[in-house]
Amino acid sequence: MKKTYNTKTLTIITVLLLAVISPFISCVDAADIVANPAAFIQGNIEGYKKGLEELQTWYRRNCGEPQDDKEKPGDAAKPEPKPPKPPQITIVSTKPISGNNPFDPTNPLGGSSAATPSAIVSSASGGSSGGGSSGGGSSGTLTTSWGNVGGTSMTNLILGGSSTLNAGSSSSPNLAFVYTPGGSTYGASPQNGYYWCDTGMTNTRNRALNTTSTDRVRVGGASGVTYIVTHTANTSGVTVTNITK
Amino acid sequence: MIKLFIITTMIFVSFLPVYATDFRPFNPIPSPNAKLPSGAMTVAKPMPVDVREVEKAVEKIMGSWNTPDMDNKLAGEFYNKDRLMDTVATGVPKDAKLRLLSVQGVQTLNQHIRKNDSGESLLVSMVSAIARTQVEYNDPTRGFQRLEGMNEYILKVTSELEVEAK
Repeated sequence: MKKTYNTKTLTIITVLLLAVISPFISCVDAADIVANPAAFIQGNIEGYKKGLEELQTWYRRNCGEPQDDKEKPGDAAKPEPKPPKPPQITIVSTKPISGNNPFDPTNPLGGSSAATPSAIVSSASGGSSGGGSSGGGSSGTLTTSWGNVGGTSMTNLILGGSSTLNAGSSSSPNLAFVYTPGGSTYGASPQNGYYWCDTGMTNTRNRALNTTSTDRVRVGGASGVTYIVTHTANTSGVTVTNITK
Repeated sequence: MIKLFIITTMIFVSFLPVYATDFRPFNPIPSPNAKLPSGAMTVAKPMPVDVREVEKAVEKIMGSWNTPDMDNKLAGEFYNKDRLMDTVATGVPKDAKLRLLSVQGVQTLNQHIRKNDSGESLLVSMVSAIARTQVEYNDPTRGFQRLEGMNEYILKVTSELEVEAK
């Protein structure tokens, strides 16, 4: 026997069903659709496009770039991945094996004898005492070191003995000046000379040498030129030493 | 009986002459200085520096010789760095160039990891390379001069760390 429902029962079921699903159905005014159907369709299309863009954004963020998604000209430039920095490579030290060592601080133009330093000459080779525009006489003992610098005609001279530059302090370093007789006194530099202190103080052409530790002054330059070294190492005052090369 | 035998044996052994008058001294075994800089970490697995990178770097370094840029190619701990710069600036002819003839024997000596000021990990490698070079310049009196030499260069290679250390 076929089961049938009466109208009352069907009405109650329908009302209950609507009551359940009605919160999930967006209300659409049927009158508006009828009045302007084109606007309704366009709005739906724009909503679809917006949803698609959001979907593409989500896909790029989570699944990478879609294969068929070509970058449009108007798209904002994406940040390029940072390329790795090239390694920084610097020289720490050198060890001569044979021939010239261009990174030898004392002799970058040394010839074939660079691997074995030239013999140290201990005998004095010059240096007159006295004189000097600053007076005070000379107490310098001149010794020659390193002989001839290969490749050039320069010779390094050392002020040794009592002319060793005594230690100064950071607030009052001892000073040394090198100049030629033709030049002026303090601060003038020989045209062809260069000089430095042993402990860190390097060539300071046109400047005074200063040191805060016991030091020696080396002078290099052309042969046949007299250099005058003055320094304030001694407490008695300025010491003047002539070095003739 | 057995007890007496054991006691006798022990007494006999205790009276044996002692030949070992002292112990051998514990001399330290010579080894390379493995002291790391403060704040540095050891590398779990050494990663040799790429030889081609070293060769390129050596070529650049040699190319910067006798130029102001050489200052950047010398490490801070290069002995007498300022003196070398001054000597080259004043005692070397301005037209002197350093030509790299060959690079050989590139080997990584040691490595450690340290952090830079911004907290990034850097891999610091000490690399030895033997390079044959030639200084070339024109002397006013003696004409063209060339000074060939072979030297071992200890290079410090600092690169961003890609593999985490242990």
